[in-house]
Order: sequence, then C-alpha cells, then structure tokens
Amino acid sequence: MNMLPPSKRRRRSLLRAELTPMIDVIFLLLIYFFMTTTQTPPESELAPALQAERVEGGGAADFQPQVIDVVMRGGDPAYLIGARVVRTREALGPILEALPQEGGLFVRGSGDAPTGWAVGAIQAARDAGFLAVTYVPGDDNAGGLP
Amino acid sequence: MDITSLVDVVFLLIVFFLTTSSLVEMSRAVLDLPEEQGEEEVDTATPGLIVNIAADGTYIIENEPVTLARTIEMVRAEVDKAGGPEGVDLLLRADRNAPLVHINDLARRLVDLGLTTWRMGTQLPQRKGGQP
Repeated sequence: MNMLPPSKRRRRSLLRAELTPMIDVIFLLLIYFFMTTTQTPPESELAPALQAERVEGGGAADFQPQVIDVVMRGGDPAYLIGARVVRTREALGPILEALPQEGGLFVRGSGDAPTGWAVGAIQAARDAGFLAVTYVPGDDNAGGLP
Repeated sequence: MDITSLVDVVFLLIVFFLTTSSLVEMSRAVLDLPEEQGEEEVDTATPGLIVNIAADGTYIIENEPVTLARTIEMVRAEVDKAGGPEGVDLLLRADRNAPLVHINDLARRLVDLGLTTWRMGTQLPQRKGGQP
C-alpha cells in the first residue's frame, strides 16, 4: 500500500526521464548533419611562372626555348611540340622526358583550348623533371588551327 | 537515470559539426578542377587572393561573380597591401572546361601589374590516369 501523500507521488513520477526521445534527437541530429555535409575533394596546386609574350624590335618573340602549344585541332584539343601533334595527355610524358630539361619549358595556351589541357601540360612537364615551367598566354583569336 | 552525460554528448556533437563545417573556405567556389597530382611540395600558406573561373568563364571572388576589371582592381589592392607584386600570393582555381581565353586575359593583366608567380588549383585524381 502506498503511504505517500498524492502530492509527493506526482513529483516522483515527474522526475522520471525518458531516454528514448533523447536518443531519437541524437540520431536525427547525426542524420541531419551527415546529409547537409558537403564532400569537397582534396585539392593540390601547381606553381608555374607567368610570362607574357612580347614582340621585340626584330619581330621575334622574347624567348626561343622549348614550347608546348595547347591548341584546338579539328574540334579537339591537342598539344603541339614543334611540328609534332600529340592528341593525348598520356603520350606527352615520354616526349617531354626525352627533351633536355635545363632550358625550361613554356606552355602556351590558345584561347579556345580547355584549361584542363594546359594544366595537364604543366603537370606533365613537372613530372618529366622540368624545374622551370612557365605559362604564356597564347593567341586568343586562333579559332582552331588548321 | 542521469542524463547529464547524454546532454553533454549532444552538445559536443553539435559543436563538432558546427566547427568542422566552418572550416570549408567560402572563397573556394565549387568547380570541376583539372585532375592533377600537383607539386610534390605544396605551399600550405593560405593564399592572399583566390580567383575562381567557372566553366562559362565567369570570374568568381568570395562567392560573388565579378568582372575582369573588378578582379584586376582586387589584385591591384593586394599588390598595394603587400608593398609590391612579389609579396602577392594568388591562387587561380579554374574549371577544367573553361576556355583558356579567360585565363589568358587575366594572365596578361597580371603580368602588366608585375605579377609573375601564381598558383593554379588542381584536384587530386580520384582514379589513376586522370584525363585532363
């Protein structure tokens, strides 16, 4: 038989804490934060030098080193090394490795070529061992070389 | 039952998620960067100015689309603040599909300002042999 007065009985029942709603809230918070979290891919950086091509009095450019041109050919991006046309990023590596690396390398980007291809050339040059890699803005009105 | 520890855990979870979510730099726009490994030794210093170029050629700084002229104004302000172009640390994040004409326009003006060094953002390849 319960001998406690009714007021004390009510107080004791009020002090009982239900854990289930609290756990529900925790899981809801976890799900909310996991759903709203944005997954950002890890980033890295390339640090090529920057130079503009300036025409000297004689009409020649101010450098005559090794140059990779990033151009559009027949609607597709391509690399030009001298008269050689390279259609894939993978084929560029062995060609660059065969070149002397002391003089540095210039990557010249034509305005209509995609950025990814120019960055690919800079990376390939770094991987081939070129320490001095310079980006040069190219012809923006090329409109696709023949 | 003592629910104090449980409340502690809830607040700790909230604080943890709020803190880690604020670590994402708002100045870095969501772009499809070229998938390249990058330099062997990456400069971990926070860049002074981050210029984003979207696939359609829009320049974005601090999550706001800006004109090329405004971009150059902001770079010039960085040069003045650093006391010369040598002290400016510029990070260029360009979408892999953005035409190079936008980078070329920016690059020529940077050279005019005396800037000859910059950093280009890449994302680490998710798979081997990432196509540029």
